[in-house]
Amino acid sequence: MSYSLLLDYSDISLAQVENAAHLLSLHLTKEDMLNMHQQFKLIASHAELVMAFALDDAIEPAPEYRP
Amino acid sequence: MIDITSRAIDIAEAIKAGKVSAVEVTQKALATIADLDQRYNCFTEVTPERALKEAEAVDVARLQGINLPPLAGVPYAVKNLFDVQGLVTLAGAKINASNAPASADAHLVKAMQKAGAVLLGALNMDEYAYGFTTENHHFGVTRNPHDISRSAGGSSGGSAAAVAAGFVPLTLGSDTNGSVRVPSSMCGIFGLKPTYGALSLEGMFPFVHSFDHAGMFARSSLDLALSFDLLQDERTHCLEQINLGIAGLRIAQVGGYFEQCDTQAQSAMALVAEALQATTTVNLPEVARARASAYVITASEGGNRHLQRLQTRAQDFDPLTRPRLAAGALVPAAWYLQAQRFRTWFHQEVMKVFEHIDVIIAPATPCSAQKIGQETMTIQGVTMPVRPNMGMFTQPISFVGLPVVAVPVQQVGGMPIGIQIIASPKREDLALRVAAYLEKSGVCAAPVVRN
Repeated sequence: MSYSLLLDYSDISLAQVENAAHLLSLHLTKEDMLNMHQQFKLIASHAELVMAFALDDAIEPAPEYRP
Repeated sequence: MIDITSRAIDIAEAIKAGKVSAVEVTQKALATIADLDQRYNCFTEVTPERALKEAEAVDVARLQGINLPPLAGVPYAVKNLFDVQGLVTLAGAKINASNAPASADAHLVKAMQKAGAVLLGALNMDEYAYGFTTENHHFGVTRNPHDISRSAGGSSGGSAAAVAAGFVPLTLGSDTNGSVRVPSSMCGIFGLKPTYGALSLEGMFPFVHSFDHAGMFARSSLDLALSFDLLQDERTHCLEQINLGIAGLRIAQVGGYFEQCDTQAQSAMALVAEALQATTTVNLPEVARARASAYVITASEGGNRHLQRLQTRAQDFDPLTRPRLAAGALVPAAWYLQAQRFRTWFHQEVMKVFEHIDVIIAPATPCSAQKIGQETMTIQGVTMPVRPNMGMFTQPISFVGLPVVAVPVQQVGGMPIGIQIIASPKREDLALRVAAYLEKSGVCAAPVVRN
């Protein structure tokens, strides 16, 4: 069975990122929070590409991958 | 005439033959660094006492008639994320400066010492290896010896610039997403990122467990082969095979995604492809997604590694690194795991290409070194941020751990640029053979430059 997760991450708000940061006890200045928001949106744009790909269920993650 | 701008292999030979002493070579190298490094800022610490002690030991051994090891008396230096006994392992970070000094050398530093090499010091890098420009707010920017207004690349920028400027013939660095290959390209030298897992990471400050590799820089493919064999405890024999040439090798260019480069990179690719008679073009599937996955995994593992420091000492991070690591710490597990699953898929697909091809070539960077502080670059009409995108061609390759030699193509009156010679896992010998062929044929060269 294959699946794909088609989500749009481009609308991630500053408030969402601030909330996520608070969950991890990250307390940054306003300027850093704005920069982090930009960086998170950049990561999200990559994640959107990754999550949109249909992978077979048999494919496992490769955290200890050694070629 | 042998001096510190010679190849490591020639310096070692001259010392062995008694034409020059290891102490003379070391003193010359230390004096050159003292005179010139303020211009480039390669070193964060020079270790003259240790260097002279190691060099004296080589000279004593020679006088006693002891058979010298292959790198006896050859000066080298390491990126400052390698443990060096008695030095604080900075990893480019002010935060680390308050740590205790390392109690022992990193595994690869021990291996270099066993091979007779002489350690001259520790080299500058992007904070915690997260960057492609070595614009370090704590320890200063490392400047490109070809043009000091330009970046040396990163994150092993000090390692690359020190070799390009002829301070040492060999340096060690690390490559997670391109941190050997990008600065090799920017500084116009040879760089080897071996197969993932081929070299020990013991005693190196980690960044991203999934992609961290140790690697090395030199001005000759022979020096890369020699040092790789030694660091592998001679389990490989790349040096023996390096002059076998390219006859019988199936070499192809990689197209598609890797064609998104400027005209200089395209010209360099055409030159190398012609020299190698690489008329076939292959496409790797879903390369953009591979790069995207590498980006997500890097952000997540890097952010998680530094989370506690971000919680307690956020203001002590480099302002270029802090928001990137903090954002990475927020990455949802679903993104990370999907990226790791995609990695398995991509590896399977790439291995299919290597059933028919021995070596593939691709640009190392989309363009040559950009100006220090430059925020954006325009490639084929698309404007993009410089810092994350200098690794757009290296990330998909280290994503699946393939061995790569970055070879330099020089341009008269302009900046150099690198081409990646990529082989299948554990076939560093093939990539090094191709690099040596290009060097011998004059297509690739890494002269000392001190502009």
